[in-house]
Amino acid sequence: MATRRLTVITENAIINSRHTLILNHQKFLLPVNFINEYPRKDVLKMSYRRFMRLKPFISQRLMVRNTYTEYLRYKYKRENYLEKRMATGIATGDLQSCDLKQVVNSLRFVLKAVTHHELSTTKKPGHHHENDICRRILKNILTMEYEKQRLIHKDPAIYYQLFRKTYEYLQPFKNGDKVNPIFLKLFSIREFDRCLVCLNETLDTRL
Amino acid sequence: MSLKSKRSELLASASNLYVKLRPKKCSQTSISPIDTTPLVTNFAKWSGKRKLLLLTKNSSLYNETKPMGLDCNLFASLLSSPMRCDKIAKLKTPQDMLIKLKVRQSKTAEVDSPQKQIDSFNLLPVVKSDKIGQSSYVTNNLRALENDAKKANNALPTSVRNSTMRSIESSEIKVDITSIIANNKQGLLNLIKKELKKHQVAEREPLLETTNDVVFLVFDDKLDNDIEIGPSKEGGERKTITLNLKNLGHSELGRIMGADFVEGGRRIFLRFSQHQELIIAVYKLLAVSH
Repeated sequence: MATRRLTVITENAIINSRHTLILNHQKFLLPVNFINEYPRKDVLKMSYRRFMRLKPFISQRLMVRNTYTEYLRYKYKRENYLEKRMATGIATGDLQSCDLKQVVNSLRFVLKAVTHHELSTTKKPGHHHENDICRRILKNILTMEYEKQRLIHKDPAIYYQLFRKTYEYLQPFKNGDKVNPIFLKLFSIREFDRCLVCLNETLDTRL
Repeated sequence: MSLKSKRSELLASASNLYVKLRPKKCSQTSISPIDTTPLVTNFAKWSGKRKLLLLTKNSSLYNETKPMGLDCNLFASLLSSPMRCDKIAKLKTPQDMLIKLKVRQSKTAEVDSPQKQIDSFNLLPVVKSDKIGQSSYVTNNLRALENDAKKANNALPTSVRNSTMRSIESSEIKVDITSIIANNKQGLLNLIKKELKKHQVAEREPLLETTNDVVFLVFDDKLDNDIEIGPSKEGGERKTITLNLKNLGHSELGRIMGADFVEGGRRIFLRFSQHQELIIAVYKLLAVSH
């Protein structure tokens, strides 16, 4: 059966049978050249606020939205990304001093994940495809984050230390060494996180 | 005279009153079609549809969402593959980071009388994607699988394990972790060999590349890690991704890549947009042999 093409157009949005497309996006964007204009503390707060505003776009399920909020909170408050990056041993270059730029790039990544292209704007098929990749990666990151939260909830004494503080599970295995069985059990999470660090390195983001 | 004037005054006021009280004619101006319904200005809040930002050419969002080169990024491709449940570790992971398994039927000779052939069922890895039949997924690492060897039977696809409507028992299916890993490794090596033959692999590094789709394969005993990402020689934003194959063993690699790759420290340069399957196979092979 053909789908009904019902479209309601309001001042703020276009609602069709599948999506609600929001028209005003000023409050989700950062001001131009704002890294140099504002002090560091303000820049972090501003970007945090914008990440939070994107929450309704992440998913229609409350559980996923809560995971997103928790993840953001952890990223901004607790995470020691330098240590995490060191633990993987993947990146050889120096970390760029401007971590604010990485935050801006990450916001750009999330924005890409929640945008819908007007058909006339897409000349190349790749542009549309890339938004799709962003959305899938974000979804996978949140699923993995949910798995981690579940494990932390189960046994905080072991998993909180591992996932949030020491990041020992990310260390490369050396040939012939005996590896802690817990790390082996978490091999999938380890692979995912190492891959995510690699992606961050190539895109200059901090997901 | 005064009476007459009074009368005319009265008449005039009466006609004025009549004009005032007379119902007005509807104005015939055309009504523009309503494109925004005033009753549903906040309909977006309760429409119940998935919310997205609409990107138009004029919006400032257009500049923010410039292409990032994700379609030719190895890690983006790995991370964006659909999530599947790892049957043994019970964790969800992207499909490309797991081994896909299927139950296969084969004929083997019976122990007592070699002429007689009987059906046997094995759980085997699938290297190239194959959609026929039920499949399950397990961790792509020998040590991790050996650690959970007791749970090996969990690796059977759910439909095979639970269904009572089939002619074979789940206990008849052989699940052997070492052979799964060995088969997977061999399959990946064959795939790499085939792909290398198919494509002309350039030896020299291209200049003035802006995207991150360049991957180097090296064999270097001095490097600690399998994967390294560092700044490129020319500087700029591009990063060099290096996959080190030292853990894979001299003999097999020498046969596939050529002896000079293993001994002479040769670098092979690949482009993700062209050799996607090959690079992912190499990445998987590295993960297996950690």
